[in-house]
Amino acid sequence: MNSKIDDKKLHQLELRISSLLRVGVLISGACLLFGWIGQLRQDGELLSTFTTYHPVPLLERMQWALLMRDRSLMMAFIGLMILVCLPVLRVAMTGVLFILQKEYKLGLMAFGVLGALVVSFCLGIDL
Amino acid sequence: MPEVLLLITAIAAGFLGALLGLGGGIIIVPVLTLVYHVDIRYAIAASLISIVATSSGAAASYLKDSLTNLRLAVFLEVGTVSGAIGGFLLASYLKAQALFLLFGIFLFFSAVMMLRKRGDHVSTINHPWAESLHLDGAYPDDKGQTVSYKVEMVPLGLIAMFGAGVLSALLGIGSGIFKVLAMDGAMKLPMKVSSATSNFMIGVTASASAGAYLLRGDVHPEIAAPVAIGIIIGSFVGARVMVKMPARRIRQIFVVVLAIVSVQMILKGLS
Repeated sequence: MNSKIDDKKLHQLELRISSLLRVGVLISGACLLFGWIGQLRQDGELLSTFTTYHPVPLLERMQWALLMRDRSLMMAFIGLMILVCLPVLRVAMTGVLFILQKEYKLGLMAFGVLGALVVSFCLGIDL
Repeated sequence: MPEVLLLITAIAAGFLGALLGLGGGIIIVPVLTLVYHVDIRYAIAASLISIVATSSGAAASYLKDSLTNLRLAVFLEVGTVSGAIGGFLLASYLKAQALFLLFGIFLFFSAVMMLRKRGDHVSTINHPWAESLHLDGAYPDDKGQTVSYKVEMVPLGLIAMFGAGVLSALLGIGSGIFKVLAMDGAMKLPMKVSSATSNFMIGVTASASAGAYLLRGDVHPEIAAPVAIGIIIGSFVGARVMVKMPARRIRQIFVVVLAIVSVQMILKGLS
């Protein structure tokens, strides 16, 4: 019985976190939209330049955008970064919830997933 | 203007995806590569960004219906995220042709799976891991009665999730089909619980590789922005009108389209 009450509480708290994530998606979506419109006005048609694969690391592109004061590109990248970090935030908060509920095994797993996400992100950095 | 056309295409992809219960990736990657001739690696990265956006935005609605098994989702995310890391590493060694070939095979498999009749079942035996982690649960059925279910073959499910994670990172898809297949077929979860839990997990799986692709430089806002915005708008509208649309007929037409596109992708992979 106690476990069922805890489950319901956990469900409600997770629901609140997920509702917060929706706000995050809206913020990142707005950043992406304004950034994209700005880029369109500034540079015009760009899609045809992506037919061949030449990746430029994010940090390099952001440095370039800062140097050139390209606000549109910066805004679009900020939107992308917020978006990608939202599930990470959800996993972290779920882990905290499990720990608070004294569900240590599942809490540990959630933090394991969080660690794996961080490792995965780091793999994208060209050292 | 191709960018605006891409936005409209993404809206259509999100709309169709919501209507058929599919992620946008299955539609957007072939469109970007075959129609707009974007490099498949950029297409995959942009698709993953759109998956993160739709899944994060809809997470609350997946939880509201009380079908999502949160404990099981967290447990299985261990498998999908490790798989996504493996998929990202593997993708660095694969040529574009191999990705086209793999995507074509995946599309064909998806078309076959869409024709499959879904039978529902409720397991009464818990695997020891499920017992220890309290992974079993209950959900309200159509009549409003609570149906309890147990979880079988948990290790097999975890291995299957690893595979789903690999495919997600390699092909820029949510891998929902494989997740549902593992939960429904191996772990013997009720279909509704499998679908809801899979949808809930998709964002975390996709973010693992999306973050890595973003940092490596595969994600270009010029492609990812219209795709993500379009799919968010399309799936939002699609979810609202889906009850009024003849989804069965659309599904039958889509299976044919999927089969044709899969052949095109395979041919491009072989060329």
